[in-house]
Amino acid sequence: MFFAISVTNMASARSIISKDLIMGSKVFYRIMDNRKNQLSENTKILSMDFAFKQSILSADYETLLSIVDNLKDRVKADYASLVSLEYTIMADTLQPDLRGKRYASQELIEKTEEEGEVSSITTRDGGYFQIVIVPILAPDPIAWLVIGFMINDTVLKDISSLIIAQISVFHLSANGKLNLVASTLSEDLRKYLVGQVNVNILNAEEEQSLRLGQSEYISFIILMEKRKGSSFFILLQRSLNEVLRPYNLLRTRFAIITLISLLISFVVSIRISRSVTKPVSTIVVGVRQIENGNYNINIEVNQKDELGELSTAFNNMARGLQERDLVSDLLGKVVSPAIAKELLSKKVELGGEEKEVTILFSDIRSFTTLSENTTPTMILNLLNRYLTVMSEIIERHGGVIDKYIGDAIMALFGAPISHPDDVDRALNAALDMTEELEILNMDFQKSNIPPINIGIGINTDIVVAGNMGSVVRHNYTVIGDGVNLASRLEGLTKNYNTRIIISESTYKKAKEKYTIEQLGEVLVKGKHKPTVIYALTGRL
Amino acid sequence: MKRLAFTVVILYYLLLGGVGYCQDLISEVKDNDGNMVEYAVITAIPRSGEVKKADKEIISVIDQVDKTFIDFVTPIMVGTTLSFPNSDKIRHHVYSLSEAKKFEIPLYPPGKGKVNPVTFDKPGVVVLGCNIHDWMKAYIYIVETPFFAKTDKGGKAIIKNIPAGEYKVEVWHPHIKKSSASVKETVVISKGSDMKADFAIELKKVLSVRRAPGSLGGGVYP
Repeated sequence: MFFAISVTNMASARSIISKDLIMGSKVFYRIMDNRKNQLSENTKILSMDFAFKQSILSADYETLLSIVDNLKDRVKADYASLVSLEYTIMADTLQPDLRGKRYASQELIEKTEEEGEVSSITTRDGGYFQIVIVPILAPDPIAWLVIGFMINDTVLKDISSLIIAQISVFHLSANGKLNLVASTLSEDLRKYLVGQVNVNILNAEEEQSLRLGQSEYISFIILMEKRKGSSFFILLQRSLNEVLRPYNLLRTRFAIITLISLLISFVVSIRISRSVTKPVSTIVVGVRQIENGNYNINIEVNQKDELGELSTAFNNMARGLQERDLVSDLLGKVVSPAIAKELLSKKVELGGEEKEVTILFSDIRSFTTLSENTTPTMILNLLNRYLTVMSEIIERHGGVIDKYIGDAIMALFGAPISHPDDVDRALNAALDMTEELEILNMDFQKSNIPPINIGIGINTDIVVAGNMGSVVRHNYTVIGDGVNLASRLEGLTKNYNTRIIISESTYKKAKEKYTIEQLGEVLVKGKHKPTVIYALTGRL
Repeated sequence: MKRLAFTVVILYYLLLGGVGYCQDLISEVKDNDGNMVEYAVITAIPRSGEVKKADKEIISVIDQVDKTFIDFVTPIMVGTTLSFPNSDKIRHHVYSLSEAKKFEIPLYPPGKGKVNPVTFDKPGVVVLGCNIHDWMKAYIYIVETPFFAKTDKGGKAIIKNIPAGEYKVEVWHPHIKKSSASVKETVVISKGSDMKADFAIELKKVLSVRRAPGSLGGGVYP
């Protein structure tokens, strides 16, 4: 990119310089013209001096020379010559001994006769002068006044400050000798310049590139004056380096800035990567923990960015998982694990489905009497031990505790999850419960708790199973006549003095062999036909 | 009455004699482009060399009107005295640096009549200038013969009543080029007949300060 900018810059600098130089050359012409005019005007005014006019024809030579010298000083010229109408030198401030000799540039005087005034560049004594020739009118011409202004470095410096270019003046004499007349360049650069400039370069019409020492100079050449085979050339030059200096400065600054920004971005990227990788690895550790089932973790990422938010979210998630685990654990304790699982796995919605369910009701007989004779603490103790044991049996057989109603247990086989042998599961559970009760009673005996007796009613029927209750609080349960019948069968155990009574539908669906005895028929509420009931006493 | 009659008779004779014995030299001066040249002076110098001296009493005038010399060219015979009146309301400073007559009338006030007389006793050309008005310029052409005339706008000059004889006839003009054919060596004037001597001259470009048009003063070069 630097390279591209550099190339573009060089090209544009060149074109800018050459445009500037062309403009400069116009300004130079203009300045030279103005200078010429001003010198002419000044010289003309000098020529009007009446005393001077009078002296030309009357004064002695010494006086005349002195007058001419004085005139020269009035306009700060470098020399003045007075030339007669016959082209002989009457007085010359530079070389007084030229008096009476023919004026060297007679053709210029002749030109003045035609044009009234002439300005030109001449060489004298190795110096170069811009000269102005005007007539001394009294009121016809009586002599010619030549005033010379040296073209030297100082003059060029004045002009160069106006056109912002180095100016060098070359003189190409008629015999082809090239001379540097004056220049604004330093001595060293002049040597380079003189070494490079030749006739071909001077005659070129387009701008050139000259290398002077270290710097390249775009150079524009103009022909200032051509007379009698000799010519004066002006070389306007501008250093490419100088023009490009601001750009080079900019480039250096740009490089420094780039370096600094690279450094900064390096440091920043390290910091950023640290601030990313570190929390990410922390989070990964946390995720592994979660994977392993350890929800009780808290990762610490003290950042106020997305990762910080992520870690907060992660922690919240861990809390959530922990809570859910806790809930599911608790749910498993409050409701049966199967329901808990069903509840946790599915989207909990109110409403239910019709299902064939075997409902088991068990109740402690004469519990009311028992509670009257025993302390509440003991009752609770008894009840808890009893319910724990019985619930454990029911769940072992795949039953689901629907609810505890005081000392009564309502359990479901076939809801929420159906098994093909739900009926047998229920019957085996009931038998196990009665057997376990004997063992429990022996324990109670040791604790001075009177033995208890239980009744169990089992009925199999199509019921509605599902979540029932309000939107915010509901239970998984079953409702239907089948439930009432199971409860009623449990109530009948007292009357028939048997522990387990099952309904006809249950009896018909049992696949295993049990010791069953028909007890009779009972009328079931809502049905016209009486239902046959059986007592279950053991397995075959 | 007798005297008057005598005068009339004398006059009659003189006039009659003029017709009978005197003749004019008529010249026309043109430039190379064929334009008639005003302010050219024709002089006829008798080849015999006999020249009548100028009458000291002859006084001619070069006036200054509106910062201009009147007239631009004044031919006079050697020995003539010119007066320099000033018809402007300002002063003038007439000078001549010419060899024929160097003089200066510094800053003299307006005045009429025969004021500031200057006698020109050498032949030649006197260029008059005014030190305070650069453009003011006039020429006095001092000749050694009484036979001279100045061309008018039509380029015509007549030397009246020139006696018969052989003359060297010359033309002069302030701007005449030296290369011009300005001399006719022998012109014979015969009694009773006018003679013609025409010239075609070359004029040079003149360097002088010109009055800027519409300005009170000032000046510009050509």
